[in-house]
Amino acid sequence: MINTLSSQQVKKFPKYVKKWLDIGLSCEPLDFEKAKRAVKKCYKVAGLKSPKYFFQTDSPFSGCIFSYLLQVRNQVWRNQVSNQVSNQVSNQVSNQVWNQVWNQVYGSHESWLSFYDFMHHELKLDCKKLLPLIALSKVCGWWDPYKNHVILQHRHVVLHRDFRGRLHNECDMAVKYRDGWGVYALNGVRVPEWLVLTRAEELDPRELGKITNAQIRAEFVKKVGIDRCFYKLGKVVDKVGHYELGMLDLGDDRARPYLKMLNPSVPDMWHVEGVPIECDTVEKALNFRKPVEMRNIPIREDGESWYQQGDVCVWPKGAASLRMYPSVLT
Amino acid sequence: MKKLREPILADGEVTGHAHRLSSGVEVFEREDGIREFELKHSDVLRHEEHGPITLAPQKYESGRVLEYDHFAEEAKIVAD
Repeated sequence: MINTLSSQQVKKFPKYVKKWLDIGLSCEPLDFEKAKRAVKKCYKVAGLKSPKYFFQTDSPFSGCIFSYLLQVRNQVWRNQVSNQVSNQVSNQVSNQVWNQVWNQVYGSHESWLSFYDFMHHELKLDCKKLLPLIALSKVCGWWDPYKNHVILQHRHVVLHRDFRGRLHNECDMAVKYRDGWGVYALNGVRVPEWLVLTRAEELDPRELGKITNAQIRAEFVKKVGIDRCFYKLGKVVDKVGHYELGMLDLGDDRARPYLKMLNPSVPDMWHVEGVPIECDTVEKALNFRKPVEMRNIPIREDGESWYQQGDVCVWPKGAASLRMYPSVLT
Repeated sequence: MKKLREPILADGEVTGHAHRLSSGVEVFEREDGIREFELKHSDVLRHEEHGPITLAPQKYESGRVLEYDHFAEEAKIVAD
């Protein structure tokens, strides 16, 4: 049994990290012939008969649609129904296609293979059965394995990251495939297209309240600016440390309370989140934000410690009382 | 209560990040959404964007913070 790695082996980590980052970030096109050969070996290792048909698509999205259509097409021809089924297909594809994403294998994004690659080559542990999958990851994007057919996908043609390696592009898609499908992202957060493509000065800060995801909302605040998103929409009614409670008018002439908070872990990231109308102090707003089960625990100065990491609170089970503020907030 | 496959207290919808304990820690989820776990040894709660938090050995509960959606007029768990 191997209990430790030698210093020589550890020194090789960066080589494998670079290798697998290069694989995952590669924008090279699918090598169809090499991918087919690797897939046949994968099936053989799995004790399965090699698939008869190989298809290629341009992105995970077109891969999903193609995969779904192949399945539905089989049903259509079996049932020999025409118009009604065609209408059902188009409705179902739009509803169902996202479920299909989770049936896919991640090809060049299967970073867990790096572990076995290292084990096989450096520790000489027998990981031969994974070698075809490793070979496939070097030449192919995501792929869908089925009994009689396989759908191989091209990798992204464009990938933009910030200096911290997070998906980020302020002008266009952060990840783009050759069929035009892709993902918009800012600072590692997947955001809607309009948030990237609309200029900051054209974004209406009053839209803040309609954004339901807190991370997207924080990116909106970052782009629009905390000044326009908070101070210009209303007035501050209470302040404790970095927390400020403001009564904001989001376009309907009604002032509602929002709590402005500085992210303790991410520089210059502000969160602006709604609290109920009865919260007229920072303290009441912070208390409202706690999970309901926590709110039922009495607050005492000598209460037990609790912790908050982002939007997750952790507290001792069965605590008789808790302190007002988290002992550690990150 | 159901035992979760991974020791995760919460994961992000749009970032792919997760609030994660060490493998080997068993995390259970109650019907009310609260997650429970017990640490026999000190452990570190990690997240890709937030600083780590060291937790002493004991039983814990965890939950996500709330916000109030003034347009839907309802309180809800913060989604990130």
